[in-house]
Amino acid sequence: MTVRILIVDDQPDIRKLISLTLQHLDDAELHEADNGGDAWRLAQDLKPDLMLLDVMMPGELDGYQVCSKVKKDPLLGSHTKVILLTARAQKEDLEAGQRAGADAYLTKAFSPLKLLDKVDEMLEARS
Amino acid sequence: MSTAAQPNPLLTLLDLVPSPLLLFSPDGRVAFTNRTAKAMGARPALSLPGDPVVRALVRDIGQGQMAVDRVIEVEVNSDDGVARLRCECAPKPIAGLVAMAVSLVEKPLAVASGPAGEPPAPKTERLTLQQIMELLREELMGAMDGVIAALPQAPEPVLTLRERVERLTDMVNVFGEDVLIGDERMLMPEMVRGTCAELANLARDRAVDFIFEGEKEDLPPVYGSRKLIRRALYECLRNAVDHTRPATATATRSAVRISFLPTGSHLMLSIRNMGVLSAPVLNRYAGAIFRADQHAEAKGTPTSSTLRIGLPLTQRIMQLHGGRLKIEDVDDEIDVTLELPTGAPLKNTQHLDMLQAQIYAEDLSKLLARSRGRKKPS
Repeated sequence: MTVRILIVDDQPDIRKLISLTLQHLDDAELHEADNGGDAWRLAQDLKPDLMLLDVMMPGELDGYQVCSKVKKDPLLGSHTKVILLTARAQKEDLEAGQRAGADAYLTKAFSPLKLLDKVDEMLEARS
Repeated sequence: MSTAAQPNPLLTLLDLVPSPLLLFSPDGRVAFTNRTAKAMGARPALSLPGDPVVRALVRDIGQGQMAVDRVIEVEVNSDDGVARLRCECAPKPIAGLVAMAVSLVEKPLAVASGPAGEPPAPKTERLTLQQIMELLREELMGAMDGVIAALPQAPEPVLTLRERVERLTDMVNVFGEDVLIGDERMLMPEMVRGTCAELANLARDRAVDFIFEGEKEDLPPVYGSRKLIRRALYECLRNAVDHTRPATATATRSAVRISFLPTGSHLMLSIRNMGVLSAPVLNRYAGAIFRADQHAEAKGTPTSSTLRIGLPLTQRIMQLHGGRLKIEDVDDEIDVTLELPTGAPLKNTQHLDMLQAQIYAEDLSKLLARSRGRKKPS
């Protein structure tokens, strides 16, 4: 069964790195967005199984807000797993992620192996 | 969008890294240069292999030896003369190659020598601007307070001078050496409530209520310096409270309305003095009233300790954050609007990019092995 993964980061290089890391996942359909507003619209259209979501992004919605909207959405809330990506891992950042309903947290700079492990863990938890 | 398979994932990945990156073979030759390194004026791919310290470091790491210091600085000839490069090697070889991140070191300022070639004077610890201002305040305030206390009625110029010194010190505390805007995430309703609570004593004395409008859970956050934004809010709210009209016999309380309006790229925060409201009018806003003195945060918050910085400095704070302050006279009431840009500022990710590249380079062989293991048998 195809899994849909939405990669959201304002830095194209990070999106590309993640895409390259995940491209070998069987039956994965990868999608990208570079800001919170587009991410939220795409999430509603695609109903992704997993979102890799940068926290600090320019524009009207940042990662915490997109996560919060996804988790409160009746169609997406329980369907879409969210991994927050951030360079900041202070206690208050982690708490903000928890409040937004994130399923996991990955601190930049991250190892591709950790990323794959986290993605596997999230997709397994769905199935 | 499904991604297509890449012919050489390692090199594609390294080429994507926005920091200069080289791969050396253990004999010190450059096996790969990413596009950022190629674009450097210092041409590290040509200059670094000839440096004996670089060669020794690459050889040690290539042979699996633990390098004492994986970060070195070397001087090389560049298009603009001599350049100093900082070279940081990955601790272990990846697929037999040694990865090195390179960055240009800013040239140190020339230190002037003493007369007749004498060595420069030893460095002394310098006071910060804040420390100097604090010293100045202590020195002057004591003397001025002495004068004020000694006189039956203090002359106006002395009081004015005292206030100005206080304000100058405070200004330095706010702006002194901290004008670099941070990237703290701020939810404005929370910040405004906190600032209203700071004004609790004043609001109570003047019988002022704060009325919140447009406060929603999904209001966009503002990024910047919490300390500076808090001061700007304080100034605007204090201004509004100070200018409330005294209560009349029929109307017992005044109100300051604070409204939030997201416009996409900005969050408009409007502070308006509503004047004295009659009880029925005030009741209409019952659900939106925030009585600062009843708020838990208000306890023990000394209002008098926060001095006024004035609206021009508040405007400056807004400008530093890419926003602005608008002051309008609407129906004889002053309407102050803070226009704050929403969303995170552009990130300075150079250090993070290098770290990310190193981590990827270190784990890439394992990643490729894992990818092969994942592939379905054909």
